[in-house]
Amino acid sequence: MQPDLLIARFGELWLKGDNRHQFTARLQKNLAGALRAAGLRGGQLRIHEARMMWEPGNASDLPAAFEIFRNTPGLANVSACVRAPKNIEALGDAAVELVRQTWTGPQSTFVCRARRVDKHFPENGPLIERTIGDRIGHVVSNWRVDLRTPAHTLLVEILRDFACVSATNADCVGGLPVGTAGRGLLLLSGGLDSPVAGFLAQKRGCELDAVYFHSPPYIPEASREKVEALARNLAARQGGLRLHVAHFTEIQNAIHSACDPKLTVILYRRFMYRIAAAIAERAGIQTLCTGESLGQVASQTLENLRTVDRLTDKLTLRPLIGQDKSEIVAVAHRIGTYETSILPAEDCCTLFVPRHPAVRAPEGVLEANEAKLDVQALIDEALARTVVVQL
Amino acid sequence: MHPDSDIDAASPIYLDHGGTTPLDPVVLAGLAERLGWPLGNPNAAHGPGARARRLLEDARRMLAEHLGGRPEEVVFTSGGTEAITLAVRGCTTASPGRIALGATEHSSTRTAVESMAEQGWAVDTIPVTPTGRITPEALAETLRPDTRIVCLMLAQNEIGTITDIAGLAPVVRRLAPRSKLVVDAVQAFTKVPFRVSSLGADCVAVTAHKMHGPLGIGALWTRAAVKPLFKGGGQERGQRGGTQPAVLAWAFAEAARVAAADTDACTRMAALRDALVAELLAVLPDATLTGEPPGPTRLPNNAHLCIPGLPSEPLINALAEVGLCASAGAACSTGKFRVSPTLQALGRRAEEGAFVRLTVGRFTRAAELPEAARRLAACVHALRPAYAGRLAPR
Repeated sequence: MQPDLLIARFGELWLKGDNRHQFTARLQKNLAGALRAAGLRGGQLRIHEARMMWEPGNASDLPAAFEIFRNTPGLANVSACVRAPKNIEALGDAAVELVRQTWTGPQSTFVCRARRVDKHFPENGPLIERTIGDRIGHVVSNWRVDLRTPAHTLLVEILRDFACVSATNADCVGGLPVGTAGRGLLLLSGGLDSPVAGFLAQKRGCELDAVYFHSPPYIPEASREKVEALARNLAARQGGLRLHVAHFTEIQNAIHSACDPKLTVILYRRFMYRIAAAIAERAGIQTLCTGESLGQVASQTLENLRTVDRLTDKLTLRPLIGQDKSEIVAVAHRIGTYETSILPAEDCCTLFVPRHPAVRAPEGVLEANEAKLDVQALIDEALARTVVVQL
Repeated sequence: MHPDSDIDAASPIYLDHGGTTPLDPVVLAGLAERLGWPLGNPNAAHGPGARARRLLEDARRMLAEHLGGRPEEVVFTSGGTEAITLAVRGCTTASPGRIALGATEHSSTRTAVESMAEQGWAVDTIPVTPTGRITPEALAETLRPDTRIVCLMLAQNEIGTITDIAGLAPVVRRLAPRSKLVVDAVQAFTKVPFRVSSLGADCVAVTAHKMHGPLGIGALWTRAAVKPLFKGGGQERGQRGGTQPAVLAWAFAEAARVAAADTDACTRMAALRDALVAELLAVLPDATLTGEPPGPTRLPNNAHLCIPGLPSEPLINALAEVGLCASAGAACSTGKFRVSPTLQALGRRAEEGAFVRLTVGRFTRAAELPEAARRLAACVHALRPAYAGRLAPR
């Protein structure tokens, strides 16, 4: 017995009012794109009985699709289901066989849950749970029932059209479908933070472009390849992503040769914001997104964040502002960017950086340093040499 | 018109033959032909199997001949790393003892030895001179009566220093009579004349792709049988499991044959290398040659320079951009520059500048060298201002 149907439930989308269908339609489009990109063809994706359902063209595609559902913003949870005749006996038989095949690991805890959408079904929820729970309890006889935090859940769903059981259930990322909250430009480096910030913006519905600042030959090609790998992770959640690779070498040279070394990092960032704002403007994007976390490094103090904010009238999202590194790492693991982010590769923020950068740089001092540079010409050149990679 | 006059600023120039070498066209032709042959598993009884077996055993015989050993002493592996690891792990005894290794051994040897240390083996490092040589005195001071394995390299991969193995072997025999001498000849094979029979070693590791053969095939010459890393189906007389790639083995032996037939290749490479060094020192007068002076104690194809005033990594990146393939003996990690373990063992520091290895090959053309020097100098001059006063110790 193989699960042959994925059922996912909407989380917060359900709270939407008359425009709910706009959100669910976008979600369906995103899922279809992700399934297609993963080469899972021939399945049928539909919204039915207030759930997102997918029937695979080939049952062996189901585990891969399950992971795609888990990582697609807008869904609350997903189940790999087996359909059964709509009576308590047949559902119990299916549950017993599914559990026998699926719950083969070491001793653990479980619970049986029922959702009875079709109120004409004779047994009510608690009775279904007790009856079928009892039967599967005999299959995993050394497992303990845990009603509060079970490791495994057997879910019985009595829908109007059919009934099904599932022994493999997982929480999805939640949030809103990517693209329903507008577009943002993510300042992406090869580190841990910015991909996580991008994911969190996507999770709330933001569709992303990304900009990466590349400094050849100071920075090896490997660093750029690493950023492309991270961008691909984000791209998979929204059916493709445009990565703008901005040429940053000349700006670093200019800052390095003319400005106070203590201000190097904050000056780099001011240029990055200016370039990002210009790229966003050209692409019709009104919002920037960064991986800054308050106080994490010298350039991310309130004072220094303020000096970059004032350079542009774009809204800057900083989803990580209140996150500790350990919390960011946990999300990076969850979304699969951690292993790439920790690969050793330089990024331009570490170039020519003094041991003790300025923690609070007064705006007047920054402006005086920038007065030694032809800021607009440097930005224009960087923009002219920016390359767009479609991922 | 000079045949090499086609070289211009856009031509790619490959001077990383110490990394890997292009396949010799003669070897490629023979390899391509044999890949199309209806060959079976060389361990099978049927006709196609027998043909593959013949090819494999011909290769073993040919390779043994070029190494100066006997066919039954040759074990085919996937490459140099596996050959070295097979030698180190395959020579270990049941009860842990001591392993001695040269301070500039390749990482494949170091990591193989480190894995033995985890199993209780004591590791002794043999110090080297500032040019990477191991003196008999340094070796004698390191060896202990209970030293069971001694790892030395015939030619050093970064700086090209050649070790007088035949001269050091008697020291090993005298002071650590129960030890096995494992020699890494990956860089040396076909570039340094040697015969395993007179080297005084117990195991010698070689690989095809450093001598214009294909990637994916190497060999260990071993005087006595070694314990396998994995048994598989008991192939290679129980010393290396896995179906042997007969065609690759043939190509390895063929590459050895072609290299040996090119009798003045080493003289030619040495002349090219010397011309390259002269060109480089002319355009970068403050650069210095690392390691041994050109001559019998240095690989004929190796030039390794220290160029003050900039770090290695951006220089290598810049060279890649202008189509000059070279390699660095250093890596940069989050803004702190470090030299390779080999350069550390020589007492070199990152603050001294960029360390660059340029290695010529049998097909390198003399006309490429002035252009290579020009590009290197241009990159150095472009990068130096950015690092002015910045290479001080942090």
